[in-house]
Amino acid sequence: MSKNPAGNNTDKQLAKLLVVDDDSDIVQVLKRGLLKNGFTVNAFSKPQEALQSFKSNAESYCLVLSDIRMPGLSGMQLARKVKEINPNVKVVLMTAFEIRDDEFSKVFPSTSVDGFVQKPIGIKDLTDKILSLIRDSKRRTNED
Amino acid sequence: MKSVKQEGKVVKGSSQEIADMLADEKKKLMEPGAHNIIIYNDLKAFREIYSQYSRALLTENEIVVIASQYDTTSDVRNTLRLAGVDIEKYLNQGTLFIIDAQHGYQQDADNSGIWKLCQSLISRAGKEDRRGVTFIGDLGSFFNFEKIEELMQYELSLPQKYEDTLKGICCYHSEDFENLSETQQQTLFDHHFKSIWVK
Repeated sequence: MSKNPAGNNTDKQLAKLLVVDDDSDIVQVLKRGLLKNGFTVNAFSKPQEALQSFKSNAESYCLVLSDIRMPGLSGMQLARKVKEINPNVKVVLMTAFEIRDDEFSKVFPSTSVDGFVQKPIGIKDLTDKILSLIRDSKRRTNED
Repeated sequence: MKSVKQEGKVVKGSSQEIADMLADEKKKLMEPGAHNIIIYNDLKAFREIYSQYSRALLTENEIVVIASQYDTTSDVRNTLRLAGVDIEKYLNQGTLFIIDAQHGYQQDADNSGIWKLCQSLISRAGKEDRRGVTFIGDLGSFFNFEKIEELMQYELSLPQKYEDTLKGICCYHSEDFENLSETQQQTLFDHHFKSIWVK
């Protein structure tokens, strides 16, 4: 693996990600790109299966990356459920649509999301965003 | 068409078969005033249906409104282009409307935004001597926002049969629809003119 100017390989190696998008092509592209960048990745195109995986391994995931608009279980609903199981997990939601913060805060006022990403996004930018959230989380843990 | 089953109000078939039936006026699946429901099992099927049906309608001087929940408006445009629709022509002449279903349904407290749009287009269709208005809309936003009671109220507020210049298809991804109780599902089936299942 080449040195990544974006950061510390140890952070990535320790970072297990859950990636969810109902578009299976997008899931595969994201999984390949993030694996190539050194992360450990479990990826799903069915949000219910992703949630099951999370429930089985809640403490092992440090970040969930999910599409917002998915039939059956939306990204916001998934965010709420994973945060209920493990409040320390970071959640980043992706969308190809316009992001309207007020839509979510009205309907899911008690669910905190750690970041939003507009699709399409390059793997490098996505990696940088994920790493910044992981490092922020580690910093807060060390301070506590 | 041999695999298409039609028993009373219920029609079942592949996406291609359903698309063909919708476009064929002789099949009377979408007769004037029809307020139907479609349950689709994946986005590819939904794209096939709305693109082929829209292509047929637009060439018949109909105004078409597509409100998609899981495809962006750009995705819908691309899908229509791939189906051979001259979307620039129809967008420019004002007979094709592509909107974000979530914004359309959820921007007003009573979820009436899209209905109001259709009503204004019916009026315009009459003035411009258009054949009518057909609306194809995905109700997925109600599930995304956990507004099931509002969904039921909205659907039941609409007539089972519209006035003759309007046709409508309420579309549900099967994974959303399955989140409804059996009673709610049956209520919606009973309320719509025909129920169309995509296999």
